[in-house]
Amino acid sequence: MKFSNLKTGTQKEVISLDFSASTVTIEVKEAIKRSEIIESQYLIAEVYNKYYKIFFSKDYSDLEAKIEPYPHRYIYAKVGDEIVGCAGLYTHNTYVEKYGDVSTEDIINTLLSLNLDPNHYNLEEKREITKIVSKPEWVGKGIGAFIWGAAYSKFFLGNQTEKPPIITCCAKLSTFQYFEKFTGITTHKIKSFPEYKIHEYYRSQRDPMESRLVIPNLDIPNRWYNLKIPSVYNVGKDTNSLKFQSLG
Amino acid sequence: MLTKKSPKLPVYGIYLGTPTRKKPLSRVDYTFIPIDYIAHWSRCGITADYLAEYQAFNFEKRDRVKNILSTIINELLENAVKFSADAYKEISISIYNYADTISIQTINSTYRRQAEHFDGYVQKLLDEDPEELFIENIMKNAENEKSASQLGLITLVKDFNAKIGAKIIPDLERRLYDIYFKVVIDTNAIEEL
Repeated sequence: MKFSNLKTGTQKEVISLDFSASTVTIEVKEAIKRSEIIESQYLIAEVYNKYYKIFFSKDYSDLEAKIEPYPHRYIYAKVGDEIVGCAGLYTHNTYVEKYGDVSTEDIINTLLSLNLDPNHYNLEEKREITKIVSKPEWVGKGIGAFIWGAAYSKFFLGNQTEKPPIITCCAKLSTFQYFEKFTGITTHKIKSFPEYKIHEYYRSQRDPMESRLVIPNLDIPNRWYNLKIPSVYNVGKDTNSLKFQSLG
Repeated sequence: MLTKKSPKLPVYGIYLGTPTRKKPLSRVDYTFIPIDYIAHWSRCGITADYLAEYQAFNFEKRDRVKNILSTIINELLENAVKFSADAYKEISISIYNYADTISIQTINSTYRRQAEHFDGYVQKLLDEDPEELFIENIMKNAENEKSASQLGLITLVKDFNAKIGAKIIPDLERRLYDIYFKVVIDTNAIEEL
């Protein structure tokens, strides 16, 4: 089966994909209803606690006490009536600013180092993709990678102005590598992320965390930036690639 | 001691004594699943406050007693949630008032490794001087050890003169361990603390 509309705005190579591997059909939506938000939050809390012993609160955050803040918006993948994966978005007060010591000046310096004009970006409007999770029983089917890509859609990023927003993210190196391999979305280091107790089971000396910048017209392939949401997709993953097809 | 070959169940502290035959004057049993607290950590505080205030009606210095009981209940709740193996497996907390004492018990399920760690920790807590143990743990935390601080449990013994006990019951089928932890406070002394 061939994919259509896979040309990218970033001039990255696009491969015509055969879709013979086993796939899963997912409905991808932004969590708007209260029930969708609650289910997304509980999935994030369950997975982060299972793997990293992290807790969540809407009232406060304390990285030394292992209590994280929730994102402001969520995008999710549903199979049947069950949310099987989701990601969050900080629309202000981003994690890298709050805890990563990333300033607007750091972002300007990163843009300049890439020979980009900071005036072309809305430095007041920051976005950060965060908390990408899959239900443990659905891991390995490409849902996490698909959600990472879908989270970088223009629809979910929701820029309000003509200038593109500043998009940041924070993860360990292996996570960046994994998602780049499967989605083609590239990232640029802003600075190393400071060490906190909350990340004790996530990061390591060999796999440190970094705050990174994502430039829409440079880093996000069109197939993700212009991804249709809400929609239904067939998603399949093998060891080297993520494949998907819109079912409308 | 909790070892693979040990036929003896680890039972410590106040669980070793004869259970009281008195009927509790007041009794609250509360059951929940940990995910609710993992998702909203502030629920530990509001649950502890509610259960403490409920008990505090029996006292003259209600605010004082509420604060003490809330601190104790919050510590037990947080530990039960933190050390639960399954985010959807029930935890229970029971608070009984026997007139002369208030007993607070939590039951949660945990993995073998956590059960072994807890087993060793409870023995230390019962055997060692709480002041010395408190300082030792502060030093360990300063060295940024990966274990939970557990200063809270020491504080209960050190500052509130709480009597403690623990039972660790293996659930072989599920390869989990049910942890029973109990704190008993002297009702007559609590207002003077």
